[in-house]
Amino acid sequence: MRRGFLLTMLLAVLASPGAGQQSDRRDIESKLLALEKVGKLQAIQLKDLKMLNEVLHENYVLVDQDGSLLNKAQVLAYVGKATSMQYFVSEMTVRLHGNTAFVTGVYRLNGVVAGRRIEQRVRFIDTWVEKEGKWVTIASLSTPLT
Amino acid sequence: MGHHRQFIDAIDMRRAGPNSDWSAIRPMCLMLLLCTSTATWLSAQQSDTAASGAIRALEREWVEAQSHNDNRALSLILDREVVYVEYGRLVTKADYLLRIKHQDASTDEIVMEPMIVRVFGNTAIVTGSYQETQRQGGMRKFTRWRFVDTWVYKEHSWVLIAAGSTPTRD
Repeated sequence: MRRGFLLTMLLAVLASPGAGQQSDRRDIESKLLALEKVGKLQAIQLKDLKMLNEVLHENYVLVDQDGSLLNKAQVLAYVGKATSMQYFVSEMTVRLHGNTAFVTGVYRLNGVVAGRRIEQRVRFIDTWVEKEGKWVTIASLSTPLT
Repeated sequence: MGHHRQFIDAIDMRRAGPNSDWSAIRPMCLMLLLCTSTATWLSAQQSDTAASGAIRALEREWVEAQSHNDNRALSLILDREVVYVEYGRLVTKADYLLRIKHQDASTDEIVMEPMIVRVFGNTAIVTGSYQETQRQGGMRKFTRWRFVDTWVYKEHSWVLIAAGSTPTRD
């Protein structure tokens, strides 16, 4: 009897709009974390320009850790000429605002680009928007950790 | 009912072949379609322009409010859950407002440079740069920053949800 009551209560909570919204929210957050890790950072590491092209909006802008402003074509060209890029990410968090979200985190980047060795420790913010059912990133900012 | 009849007549005319009256109404239909899509495009452009203007004004208000320690105005501009990356650190709205409250406004001067606003529906991205002059003990420290701010349209107004800046090397 008691078990039946608890089961009914659990089902009622799960079926309530609040629980559904929470679960939707968590699904979107997980999806965005995966997109950030695989769709973006891993794509950069593997020089998967096709994947990057998919996740970066056509009007994407990046403010890099040295203050330079790059558009999508410039980012793709930069990744294209990299010999190696290795990201070590931590403190990654997703915040959702309807169909807009941003991911914050810290990464350490080791690599070689155009014959130059690079080593950075930066904090980043990536802004994502849902466009026709697909999440794409529209802006990124990287700033040196102090 | 009358409109429905006209529509059936138009289909009948189309079925009658290319030499029927359909060929006469086709340019009108195309013109109507063109006008509708142009009007939709113009309306979208106008709304983006309006959003862009509102956000530029808010960006200026933000600088103004910060330089006058006006936490009340800042509180309206910043979303409750805003995330701000300041000098490489992640700060909350409460942290930022506390810093501004105790900041000596005369020691910090900000001069805005041109900014670009990109509108993506109810989200807008602002990129730009500003010059900051900090005065401490008779010394002046000059830094030029490049920033990215994210605004969303919530409950009939634009609010800042994320912001960050990084020092430029020039």
